[in-house]
Parts: sequence; C-alpha cells; structure tokens
Amino acid sequence: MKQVSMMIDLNRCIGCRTCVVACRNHKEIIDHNKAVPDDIPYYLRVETREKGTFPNLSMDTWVVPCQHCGEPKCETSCPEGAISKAPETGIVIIDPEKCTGCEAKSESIAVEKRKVSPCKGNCPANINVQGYVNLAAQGKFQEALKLIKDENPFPAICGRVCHHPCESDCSRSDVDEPVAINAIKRFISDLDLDPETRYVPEIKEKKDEKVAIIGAGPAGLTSAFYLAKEGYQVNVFDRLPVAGGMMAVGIPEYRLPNDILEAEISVIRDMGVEIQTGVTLGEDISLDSLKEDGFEAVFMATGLHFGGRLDVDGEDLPGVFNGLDLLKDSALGKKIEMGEKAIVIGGGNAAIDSALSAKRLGAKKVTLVCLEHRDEMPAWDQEIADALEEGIEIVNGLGPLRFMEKDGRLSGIEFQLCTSVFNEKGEFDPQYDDCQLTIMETDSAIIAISLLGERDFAENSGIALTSAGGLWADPITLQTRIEWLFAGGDTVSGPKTVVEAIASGKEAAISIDRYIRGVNLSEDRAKEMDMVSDVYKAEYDPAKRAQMPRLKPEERVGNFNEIEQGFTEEMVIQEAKRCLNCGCSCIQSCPFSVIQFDGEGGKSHKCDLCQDRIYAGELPVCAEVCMTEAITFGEYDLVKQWAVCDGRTIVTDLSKGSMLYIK
Amino acid sequence: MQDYLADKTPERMSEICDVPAETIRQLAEECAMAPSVGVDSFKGVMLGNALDFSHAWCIFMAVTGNIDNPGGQPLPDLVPLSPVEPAPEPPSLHDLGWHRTGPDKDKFEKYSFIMEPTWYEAQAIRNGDLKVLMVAEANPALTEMGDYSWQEAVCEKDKNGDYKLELLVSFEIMLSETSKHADLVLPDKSYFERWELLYMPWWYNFGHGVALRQPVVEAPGECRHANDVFIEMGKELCPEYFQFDDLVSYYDIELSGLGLSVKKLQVMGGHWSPGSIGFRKYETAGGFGTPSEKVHLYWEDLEEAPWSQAFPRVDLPLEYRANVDSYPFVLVSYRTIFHSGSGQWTFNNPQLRDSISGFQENPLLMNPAAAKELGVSEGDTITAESPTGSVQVPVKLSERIRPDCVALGHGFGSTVGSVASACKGVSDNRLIPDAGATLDYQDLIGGEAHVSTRVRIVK
Repeated sequence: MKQVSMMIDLNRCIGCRTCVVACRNHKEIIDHNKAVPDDIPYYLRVETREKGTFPNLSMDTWVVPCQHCGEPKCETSCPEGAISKAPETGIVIIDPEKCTGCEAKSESIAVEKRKVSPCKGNCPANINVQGYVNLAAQGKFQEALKLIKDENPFPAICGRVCHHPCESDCSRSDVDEPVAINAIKRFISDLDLDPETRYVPEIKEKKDEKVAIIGAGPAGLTSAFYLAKEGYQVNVFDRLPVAGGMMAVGIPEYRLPNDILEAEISVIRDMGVEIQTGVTLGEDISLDSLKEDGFEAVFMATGLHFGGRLDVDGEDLPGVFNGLDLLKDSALGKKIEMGEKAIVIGGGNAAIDSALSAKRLGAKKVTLVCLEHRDEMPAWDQEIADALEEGIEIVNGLGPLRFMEKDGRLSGIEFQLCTSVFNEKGEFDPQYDDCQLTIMETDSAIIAISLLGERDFAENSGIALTSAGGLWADPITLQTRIEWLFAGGDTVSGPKTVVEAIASGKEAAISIDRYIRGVNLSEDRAKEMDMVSDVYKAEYDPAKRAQMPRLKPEERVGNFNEIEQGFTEEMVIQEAKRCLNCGCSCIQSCPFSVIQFDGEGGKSHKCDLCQDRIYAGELPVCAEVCMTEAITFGEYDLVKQWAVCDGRTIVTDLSKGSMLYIK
Repeated sequence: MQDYLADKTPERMSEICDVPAETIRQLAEECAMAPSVGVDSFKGVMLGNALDFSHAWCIFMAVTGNIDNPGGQPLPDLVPLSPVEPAPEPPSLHDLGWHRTGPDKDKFEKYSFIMEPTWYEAQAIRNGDLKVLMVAEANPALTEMGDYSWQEAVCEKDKNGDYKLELLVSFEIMLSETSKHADLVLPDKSYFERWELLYMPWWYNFGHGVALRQPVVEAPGECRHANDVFIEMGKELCPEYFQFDDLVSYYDIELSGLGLSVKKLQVMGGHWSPGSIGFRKYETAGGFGTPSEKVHLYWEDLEEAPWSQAFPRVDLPLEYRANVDSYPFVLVSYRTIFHSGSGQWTFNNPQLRDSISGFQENPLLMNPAAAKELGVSEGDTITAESPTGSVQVPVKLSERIRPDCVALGHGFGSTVGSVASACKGVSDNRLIPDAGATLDYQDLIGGEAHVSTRVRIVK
C-alpha cells in the first residue's frame, strides 16, 4: 500500500495556528454564527515542547493532524467497520454512511460522546472496553482480542482474576446492573489459548539495545511484552522455577488454571523474550553484572513473595503454615500435610484463597479468623461469598494471642477480642481486650496476613526505599535514583491487583523506551481523563445481566478445577448488547486524540488529508496556507528520503504514525 | 566613542540582555562582514528607553555603513501625494495646555509622541476644552494606555452636575467598551465593505507605496464608513474645506500627485510600489540633513539632562528603577501571534478565543523560580498591583520569561459581545499608568515611560 504523508519541520513551524483555522473553514466544520470557544471541532492542533530553564531555553512547536497510522487503532475498534485505510493513499477514512457514532441518538449529548467511557477510564490498563464489548456484540471476537491486547498482554488471565473496576461505574448500573464486562473479556481472550486464533503483535524494527527485567510476574512480563513489541531484546530473570510470579504461585488453579497462564506467557516467549527462571538476584546475577553484560536499562519487578509473621508464641510449631508458602507449594505440586481442622488467620483475598486451598488439600473444617468485622474485611465481596458457599466459617473480631502446643505440634490457637482495627486517622492500629479470650482447637493454622518483598539487594545496591519499605521510584516514570534502573509493580506500590501490576509494567516500558532514546521521561504522562457522566438511557436492550456459570460447591471438593466456567458465545453477544455506548469507540482508541464527534450528525469525523484536493493535484489546505512552509506533502518514502538526504533528523518520538516530524 | 565603549564588553552586555557573549561576538562579526545589515527596530521605540535604543541603532547603522545603504536603513522616501486643499491649521496642543500640565509645564519640551490620544482626550475633557468626541477605529476605553483614566474623564461632571463631555459618538463595526460610554453608536463599515487608501510608511526597507482597499461585499443595513460621515458633516459645518464629492474623489486628488487615480490604481491591481527612490541620497545632497551635514554619533543636546544621554544608556533606565523595592517586577505587555489586533472583532471571534486555534484568556506569565520564591503555583489567582492600578489574574508559569519580569497579553478584558463576555481575561492597561503619571520621566528620555510599568504580586 502506498502511504502519503506530511513532513512537518519543527525548525519552521511557529505555532501560529493558521492551518487550524484554514482547515476548519475548508472542511466547513465550524458554524461561524454559533461557534463557541472551546466547543469548535478541529482536525489539527498545535503542540509545544519547551526545554531548559531561563535563559538557556529551546522550544519546539508542531502541528498534529490525524497520523494516518499504519495499523490504525480506530479502524480496529470500530464495530461498524466504518473506518478504513484507502489502498491507493493510505489515508484513514471514516465512512459517514457506515458510522453510527457508536449508536449515537439524536438526544445524545454531543459533548459527552467525546469523552471517555467510565469502563475505560476506571481500567488501570486503560483498555478500550466499550470498543471490544461492541465488537463482541457483533461477533467480531478476533478484532476485539487485538483491541484488548493493545493495552493488556494478559487478558485471559485478567478475565479470570481481575477485580474489574471497569464494571464499578458502568452506566448500565443506572438502569439495572453493570454489563458483565470481565466475563465478555474472558470469552474473547480465550482465543489467545488456541495457537490458531491467538494474537501475537507485530514486532517493530529490531533494535540493538538490550533490556533486563528482574521478576517474571505481571509487571515484569507486561513490560517485556511492550518492549519486545518496540523491537528491544528483552531478558527476564526470576528466582522461582516457573514464570508468572504471583499469577503462577499466588493464585490457586481453581481461579486461574495453569494452561491459561502458560498460553499467555508463551505469546511473550514467541515475541522473542527470553525468560530465565531459577535465577536469583544477588546470587546468580547482580545489577552490576547486568550492566556489564550490556543491558541498557533494568526493570525491577520482583513483587512481594514473603508472607508476614505475627510474632506470637508458637508461630513456628509444626502445623503452622505461612499462607503464601502454602499457595506456592500447592501450585508447584509439593506435598502438603494438611490436618482435618484448619484455621486461617487473615481477612484479605490471600486468606480466602488459603482457606479454599486448605479445603482442597484435605481439611474437612476450615475456619477463617480475622481482626476485622465483616464489612471491614479487605477481601472482595465475591471472594467472601465463594468462601461461605464452600462452607468456610468466618469468625470476625479476633486476634491471635498464641499458638498452643500438644505433643510437639499445634493443637489450638488462643485469640483475644479485637475492639477496633483502625484508628481515627484510618490507619491500621488494632486494639484488644485481653480479658476476653477464646481458644479454638485445630491441627493446622495458616497465617495469611501480609506480603513482603526482599530488600537486602536494594540496600546493598544503593537503591532508595520508601518509609513503607518498598523500593522508591518516581511515581510517573518509575525511574529510581539510578537513572538506568526502573522499578514497578508490587515491589514499589505494595500489594495491588494483577491489572494494576500490568499498568505499572506498561508505564515502565514507556519510560525505558524513552530513556534509551534519550527522550524526556515525564512529558505528557499525565493521565487525567474526562469521563462520560451523562448517558442517553431512553432506549436500551432490556436483557438482564447474564450470570456466570459456576461449579457447584460439591463439585469443587478435592480438586482445583476452575470454579467459573465462562460465558457461551450466545451469552457474550447478548450481554455485550446491553452496553449503553457511553462514548465513541474510535475516539477512545486514537492514541493521538484527533477524532472529533459531530453532535448534530451523530458521527465521528476527522482529518482526511484533504483527499479531494490531493486527487485534484493540490496540497492539503494546511500545507497550502502554511506561511513558513513548515509542511511538506508527499509520499512517505519519498519525503523521508528527502529528509535523510538533506541531513535532517527525524524526531522519532513524534513520528509514530505516517506523519514525519523533522528538525 | 572609544572611551564610551571601553567597559561595554560582550560579557558585560550579556549580563544585561541574556544573550551569550559568544553570540554577541558572532553577530558583530557577521554584521561587519555582511554587505548590508537591516535592523527591525519598531518594537524598540515603544519601550521606555526608546531614545537610547534608537540612538544605539543609529550609531550601529552608521558605523557599519548601513544608513541609506541598499539592504540597510533607507532614509525617508515620502510618498508624493497631492495635498487636498484648502486645509485648516490644526490647533496648538501646547498652547491649549492639553499636553504639558502643572507647574513644570515649561520644563517638558522634548516629549512629543503621536501615539497617545487617550491621554490628550482625557486631559482635554477635564480641562473643559473638549466637548464633542467622535471615536472611530479605536477603543480608548479598553485597549489604549490610560484607558481607565479616559473612562473616568468621559464620566466626569462639572459643578452643575452636567457631563463635561457633552457628546460622545462611537463608530464601530461591533459594540465595544467605548460604545458602552457613548451617547450615540453608529455602525461602521468593515475593511471588506469600504474604500481606503493605505500609505506605505517610509521606514519599510522596500520603500514607499500606496495600496487601495476596495469594498468586496455590501455593508448590511445602514452601516456607513466613518470617513463618509465625516465628509458629510464637514460639508455642512465647513464646506470650504470639503470641496470634493466623496471619499473616492478625495483619494483621486491625493493620487494625482503620483499621476494616478483610484480607477487607474484599480487597473494596476490596487497597488503602487515603485521601490525606493534611491539610496545614498546624501552623496548627491552633499551630506545628511543635520546642521553639520554629518552623522552625529554624539548627541550634544542631551548632555545637560539630569543624566547624560549624549551616548545611549545601556543600563536599566531610571523609570524602570523607580519603586523597585515596592514593585519588584517589570510588566511586559505583549501580543500573541494569534491576537495581533486588539479590536472587538478579534476578541469576539470564537476561533481566536478558542484554546485550539487562539488564546482564550491572558494569564500572568511568571518565571517558575520567581513564583516559587513567592509561594505561587501554576493556576493560582493573584493580584498584580502597579502604582496606578491592580488586576486579579491566574498565573501561568513559563521559563520563557525572565525571573524579574511578568507579562500580560494585550487587548483582553472586554465585556462586550457574546464571545468576549463569556471568555476570561484582564486589561493590561489597568496596570499601565497614563502619560500624566509619568511625564517627569518620559519628557526627559523621549520615550514611553508609562510602558515601563513595575508591578508587585500579592497572593
């Protein structure tokens, strides 16, 4: 396919915005009688970058039209197939006949349709949820998978373990219940399990630079995915014998089957990422050795792999397990001697998983004891419901005082009454009444109270730590005080969810790519999103939210079979049709924010490079009116060749689509 | 000259102007070697140290051989238009006392600057000399220095309670702040609806010329060009000076001096620009138009000022240093590339007030280091106070401004019109004193001292 392009010379552009106005007038996208400032559509905008401090300053200015991307995300995301690349020019065109403005109704509020849907806005990985849900509604699952994997390399995993904040503010909740987004994503993403249907992104031109990632958990592997996609050579090291980090050894198989994890990790391996397991930082490798081996940057994503201790008498008795070790040993197939009675201490998701695992490992009676009252428990509601459904007894408001011993092993636990868990500032500060004691008999105890990371290597390497004990990294760029060392995931933030670790890994990849290219790490990284707040609700699909098919409790006994069975194709299509289409899919997909929404016409629209003028042998209007001749129009390869022959530098961080920016 | 220049090394000048010494040297070498050098100095003469700048510019042009040199600075070529006669003698502003006031009236002899009608008008109204004022193509109530003083003057009443200004007429194509004060608002014609002969100023390096602006669309309703109204009134009031039919006839008379007429100019494409009438005219004239017929680098008549200005001063002028403790920042009043005009049609044009294609408001630009010292952050609303006024305005931090300066875009603050009234912005003129407040400086230095406004920032 030929690709026409515009070459924008930063040395010539003065940011006058004449092109912006001329374009509006030529395309007649402004009503001069009614126009209101800041509510006028535009196909071009001007951006500026200042460097330095007074008086040693430099400033660049350039115009941003539609970049007419090689693989337009807007094209992928459009459920109507209204967006395409013209084969003879490579211009990305929105067909107004096909575009429905994502089901925009005449009563829709135009300004709202330009905003970000709450599902995307609340997703830490920023996935175009509305886009893939609507593709799913039309049975376009392969396209939907590609759209999801633009932002998340582990959708099948997230489809099973994500806490789905995308559903928390779903506009459909105002009508009845949120769209079952996570279940839809899971169905789509299971295409990744089949080598025939899985999506492996295209790798950009191979780069010479190498990046090392320490930790093969969700943050580390996500970073590896995006860096490999950019063409970097990526090596991932992990001390565990398997890849996946907590996804492999912290989440039981009944929630996340191993084959799902393996399938998604194999995509990353097939992208050229080398994952070396059983490699310990500080023993087998060091930061210095990695640097000596030619790695340009290192990403620390070592996670939190140690369980916290209670520091009470009897904690080391036989029969007392650490929850994390229990889950890890179970995942790695080690033999575990679980008694008939088990008490789990802790109120979070890890405690619930420990309890459900204990049951599957042979315990006939499992009790979960925690400090918090039921409504204070940090575990998610669904996890608590799962536990109750499987007959786990939950006892609230008790704190362990000591582990009791008989015949050299655990016989019971003495608890004291917990009168409050948090202080007035909301900080964890448990208070007890040691006159009110309770003894529970048990032959197994599992401590699942907190997660800790290894910090020795940090202290030995001069890496700063936070007061909370995490690695310190810049909150935006994830750069540590060692400029080539980045850190992210749980090891920086403390325990978070898988999707939050994925988001952290993505940001690390962006920073490392910028660091290697010598581009400012923090510029344009702010993530403020204007979310849709008012949605047209007069008409909608009346179907009720589909319920996830699940194994019955009796079917779960003695095995680690997956509890949630997933939607059928029919269920997915029906559920996806419940979406109220808050915003516009293409607008939310465009990485350059160049697509506009026409409120009156109810359609998306954008720069078409003035193709009518091009076919008539004329220049696009912006190039025609530019007073400083900063815009050169021509075939991409030719203008690029001209720039190279003229000794001009191509500004790579701006030239990401089919437009070329030069200095 | 050598003594004067002895301590003005590139290094010392760099400290003043922030241009690296090496760049100054490089520029000097390039200028010395170039066959011709031109300097666009128009913005310079608007500054408080205008005379010093102009003086330095003249010296530079002279020593580099660029006075009346092709590519350098041509000496004036006045367009030889024919006068329209008879014409009345204008009144003497000096005799009327509209310019110099107070006990030091006789002291202020040198200052005479054409771009200050607002202050003249205000003073004349207060004196009781001006009773009828017609304003066309101007907005003295908002976009000119001393605007607030002008607003006060047109509202001033005499001891009988009558307005001192009996009639204020505003010609406008779009209602303005001035229109709000007017007794009568007459709809004017826009550039696209009227005839106009434009004279190319002589100071442009490509020489003199004239250009014809022609109506391309019909004006709506009863709109009339202010000039047509003046001609009609003139024919009623003093017909001896208005012995031509209309504006086009008036231009025909003027153009006859060039052997042209409006029709001929139309046939020529509306533009007559023969270029310069010649360079190095001093060679044939036997010298320059000075008493000695030579270029004067040393200006003896300024030796006896309270401070010597016989050579240009390079340090911050006195008026900039006044009140430096109370008002630590120099106010820079500027225009953006989007708003070169300050008319109502600019500030009511939605595209020019749109954030994507223009400039919606004019935050106070401040250097981040200076802001940090004051505890001011981006977006904070602060009060900027000058010795004569104050505005409340949000702050925008920028490294593009010196730490000892703050800046406000010019022309903002209009409250008339649907777009202007919906957008934000403040008038820089609220801070800039009128000429009466700065006569003691500007009369002596010959520039616009009131542009040299100092301000302080109050959180």
